[in-house]
Amino acid sequence: MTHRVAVRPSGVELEVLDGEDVFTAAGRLGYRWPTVCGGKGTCRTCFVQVEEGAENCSPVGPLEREGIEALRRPVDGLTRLACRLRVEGPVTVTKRGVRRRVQE
Amino acid sequence: MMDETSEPATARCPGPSVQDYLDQDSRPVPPALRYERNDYLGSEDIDTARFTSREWAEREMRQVWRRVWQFACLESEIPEVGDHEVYEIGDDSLIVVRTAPDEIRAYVNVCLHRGRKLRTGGGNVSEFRCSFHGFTWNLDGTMQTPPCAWDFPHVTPEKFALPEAQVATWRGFVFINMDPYAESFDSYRGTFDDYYIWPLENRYKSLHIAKVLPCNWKVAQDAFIESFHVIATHPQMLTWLADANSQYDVMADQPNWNRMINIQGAPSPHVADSVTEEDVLETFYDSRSFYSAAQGRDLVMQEGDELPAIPPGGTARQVLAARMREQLAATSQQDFSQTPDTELLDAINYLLFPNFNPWGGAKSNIIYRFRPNGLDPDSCTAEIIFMSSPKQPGETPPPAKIRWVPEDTLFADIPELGVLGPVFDQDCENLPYVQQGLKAMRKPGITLANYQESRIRHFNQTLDQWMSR
Ligand code: FES
Ligand code: FES
Ligand SMILES: [Fe+2]
Repeated sequence: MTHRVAVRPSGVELEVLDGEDVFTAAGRLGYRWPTVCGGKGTCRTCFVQVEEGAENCSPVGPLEREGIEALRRPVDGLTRLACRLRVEGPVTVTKRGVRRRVQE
Repeated sequence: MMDETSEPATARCPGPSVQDYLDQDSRPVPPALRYERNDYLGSEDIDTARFTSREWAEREMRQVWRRVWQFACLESEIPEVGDHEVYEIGDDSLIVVRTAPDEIRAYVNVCLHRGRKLRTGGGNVSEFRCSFHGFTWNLDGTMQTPPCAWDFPHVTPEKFALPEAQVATWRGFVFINMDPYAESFDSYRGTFDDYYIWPLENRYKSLHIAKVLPCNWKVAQDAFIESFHVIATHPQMLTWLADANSQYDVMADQPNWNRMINIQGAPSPHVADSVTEEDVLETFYDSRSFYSAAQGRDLVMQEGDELPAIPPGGTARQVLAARMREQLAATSQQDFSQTPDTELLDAINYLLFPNFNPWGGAKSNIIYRFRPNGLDPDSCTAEIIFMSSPKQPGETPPPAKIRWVPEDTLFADIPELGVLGPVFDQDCENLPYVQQGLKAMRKPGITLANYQESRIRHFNQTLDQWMSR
């Protein structure tokens, strides 16, 4: 079972697996996603704004909450860390800098 | 061993002794509780500077807290790799973290770049990334390549591993020691394990209350290791609590632990000649009836139940022990048929220097922890932890989270504390007035009872040994 996550403004569409986070899905599908920590939840660089489908998003855990608070955003389910975000239905997010990995 | 030097302290309350009560127990009493020893440690006054002076508090941090084994957290609070708690004492801050399924380590909680604290609370992480410029450490304490490594040719991971404190675990509790040359925790405890015989590792943390108290941590600790104060501080308990004839065990060759046993379900020697066995029974129940049963600690009577009758020639203590045995068996699915009366009724309290202050016994075990609040000599943090048996053997409910209550909240308003809440409030009522009084006092020291306050002397002498070492 996969769920479609649309990324604005690039228009990238990701098929995210059950239980997989959006950051990992992007990597698996050949996209670069802004990061410093590589998906460990500690750098907060991967954050996204949820535009549609917030009800399909996993709950915010303690480490992600810490990150969102450090970003000075409300913990209202609309700012999320892509490396912690799992989905159960279609979701649209805004994230700049998501693009296809350059082939060597 | 009673020789001439111990003679001044051989005087005891004329009432029946704890060991006399244990002789009457309906079940065999474990040898650990049959043990009795009180070495005479002198009768000099204890100077007041230790309680009031900022300079003393700072020296105490360097001489004592940075060198002794101390209770930091519970293993159950950090079950998964990456789970951590922050333990702070004075100006020191440690990350106590599970680094492997069977390994817990404690790192100094400070970034080695420009000194920001790495973590401001517990949680789960797979690396420690500083929120200032992003220097990052792995769970094993090694540093990752710093951001802008080109600008730090002088920073090599080998030089930048996180400094560590020693860690030891004991019956589900995590202890730390900041001194790399400290003796092992096993040797530090001395004979403590032989006398603290209850399996805390099979219990879970069912309650954790914390509060800042406006007094020195030693003023608070001293108030909870003697029963002498019951006559004036808790007069409502005299009918059912044997105070002046409590037993105090302090050993000159065991500087890091001491103990008291306080018989309950029997009258104080101060009022014994005017109190009947029925009075003991009735007031024992009465004192508990206002409060909810705290994790099965308090004996409760169901609505509409009659007071149990005391058989001819019997004692209130026997009846209360039998009732407690039934109540515990009914609520815990464990067998208490062989549990002696003393483990069901009495207050058996140990102090493992400096901040591990557990009660023994078959009921939920209370653990107190008193420690300095930063470097302030005039305040401390007091914690009450309950370790309870799971409802079904083998279950491990998650540990209760620490609950900080504001200074103006009464312990009586925390229903889970049961009968302990208002009693604790009575104790705490004294403490700010002691702190203030110690500063107004013209006499240079406080005076202690030879026997009933011998744990206070023992505790303060151990402290003095660290201070002068
Ligand atoms: S990738 Fe670093 S926090 Fe998500
Ligand atoms: S202070 Fe920690 S990275 Fe600069
Ligand atoms: Fe008390």
